[in-house]
Amino acid sequence: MQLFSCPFCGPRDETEFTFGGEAGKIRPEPAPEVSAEDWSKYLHRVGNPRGATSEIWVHQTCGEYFLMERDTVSHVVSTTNALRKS
Amino acid sequence: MPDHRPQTMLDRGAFWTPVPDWSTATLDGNGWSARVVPNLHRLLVSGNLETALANLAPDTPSIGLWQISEGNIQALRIGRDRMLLTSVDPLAAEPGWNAEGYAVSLADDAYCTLELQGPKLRSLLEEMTFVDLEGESSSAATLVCGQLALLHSTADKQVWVHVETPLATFIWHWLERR
Repeated sequence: MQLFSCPFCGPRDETEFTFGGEAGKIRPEPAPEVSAEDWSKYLHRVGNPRGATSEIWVHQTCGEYFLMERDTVSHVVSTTNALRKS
Repeated sequence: MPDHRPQTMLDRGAFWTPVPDWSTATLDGNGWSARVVPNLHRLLVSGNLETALANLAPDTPSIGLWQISEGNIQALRIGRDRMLLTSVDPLAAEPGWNAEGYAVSLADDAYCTLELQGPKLRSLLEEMTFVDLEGESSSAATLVCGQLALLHSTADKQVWVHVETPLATFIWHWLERR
């Protein structure tokens, strides 16, 4: 069982968390002008890196969205940071 | 006379497990007991919690996981900007948005509060949840029997588990089968 550290709650079991997506993936705007190819790229293409990665996760029990830096090979979580300013 | 009425509609009445009579339901396990805390009033508060607490329940501490709440009002922290206020007497609060930066929702019937106690409470809780009870977490929210719940102490070897009302039946039956 792996522990993730929620920026608000502290260390909690991984079963309390849900993957929210790759960090830094910007939704293309304005929507009416976005080509089908760019939509497809936004929706379906993922980096899936081997090694260090930045991801958005959500702690389901408290509702906190946060940035997690982790390693997809060793599963070591280096940092978790809140996305909110306060 | 044969019954020729169509028999296509399933009787789902027996599908759901029966809901206990919460006014009298009690369980006595090996070293622990359970009951439902009756007649609690509840408010869900979101937004500026510091101001909300000052207005609704002054001098009431924010309670996180496993922390002991004392008195007739509990301010149970769910997340960074959300909490559940429970009280024996109704709190003077207008539901809706407050200009000072918080929202209040009436939640009297939204949650059910189970009280567990006894000398073997700790071993019972270790089966009910994975969470580190000594982790000093700011939030009382965690998974109990796999369901979202708020977990805190009210005295030595006594805890309250607040779950959304429909989930209370599941947790009660889980306790019955333990």
